[in-house]
Amino acid sequence: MLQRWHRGLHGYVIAVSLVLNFISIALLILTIYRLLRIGGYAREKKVYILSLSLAILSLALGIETIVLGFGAYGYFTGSYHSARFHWIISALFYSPHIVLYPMSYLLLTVAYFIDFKPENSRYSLGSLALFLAGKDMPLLWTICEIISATALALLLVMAVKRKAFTYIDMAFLLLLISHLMLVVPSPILYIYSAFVRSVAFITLMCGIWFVKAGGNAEKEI
Amino acid sequence: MPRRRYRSRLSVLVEILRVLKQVGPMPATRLCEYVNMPYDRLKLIIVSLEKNMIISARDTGKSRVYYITEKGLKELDKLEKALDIIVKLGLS
Repeated sequence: MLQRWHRGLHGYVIAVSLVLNFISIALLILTIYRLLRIGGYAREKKVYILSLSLAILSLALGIETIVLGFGAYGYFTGSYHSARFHWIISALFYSPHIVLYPMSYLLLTVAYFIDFKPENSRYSLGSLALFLAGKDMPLLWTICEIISATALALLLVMAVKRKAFTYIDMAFLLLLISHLMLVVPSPILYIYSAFVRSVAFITLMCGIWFVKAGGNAEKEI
Repeated sequence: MPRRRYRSRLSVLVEILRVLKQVGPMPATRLCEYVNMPYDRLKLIIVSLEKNMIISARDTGKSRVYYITEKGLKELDKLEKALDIIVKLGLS
């Protein structure tokens, strides 16, 4: 029974992550649009860097959503992707964590300062269980996750220091937790980390879109 | 003593446009008092805003008064929304 509950839980976690990711991507794109539509006379380096960082973040999230989609397909059907397309899936799987997430967090920080072993179990991302399967995990992955986590820790400190909204602080904390979960990765941790990241992005977007700035923004001016 | 935080160009622009919208047309010297900025620095911003038709000027005989244009009102809304995001992220 516990086994069945476990299986169901993984499925729900992937499904909820997918929905949250779609919402976050839409809101991230709207945020970038809001930042970039101000005329050239008002633009500052900070706005450009913030927009670029959010654009890379939405690209990373988009790719991760595709990966989770593949994972969900594999999870529910128990199928594995074709060997011919392995390099594409591999590039999709690694690019957000090796390149895009660290790059976007580092850019955001700058804005503040100016294996492949198939598992028999279906308790993972189906064919994506090939990745992060344990001992074949590349060192590069861990290094990149540590870079992401360091940048996020710095972002969290800066956000608290600069009196950013509590939602923003919470989002950075959740993102930090999600990347720390992947320092020693496993396919199961990947699912839960993706879920925590989805919640973090939704929190970030809620902070930006649905919380009234009120007197705080006025005071800043 | 805490380090003084300077205002960003974006927040200065929003402040100038808000004053012109809420208080109404006024000469540059009075605008200086409202936005707490020296005339020489404000003049540069005013020239740029006038060039982009965000604000406009008319001579009243005694002085030259500046007022916000229709385009300026729309731009103010966009600037306020962008600034809102920056303030919430603690980047202002």
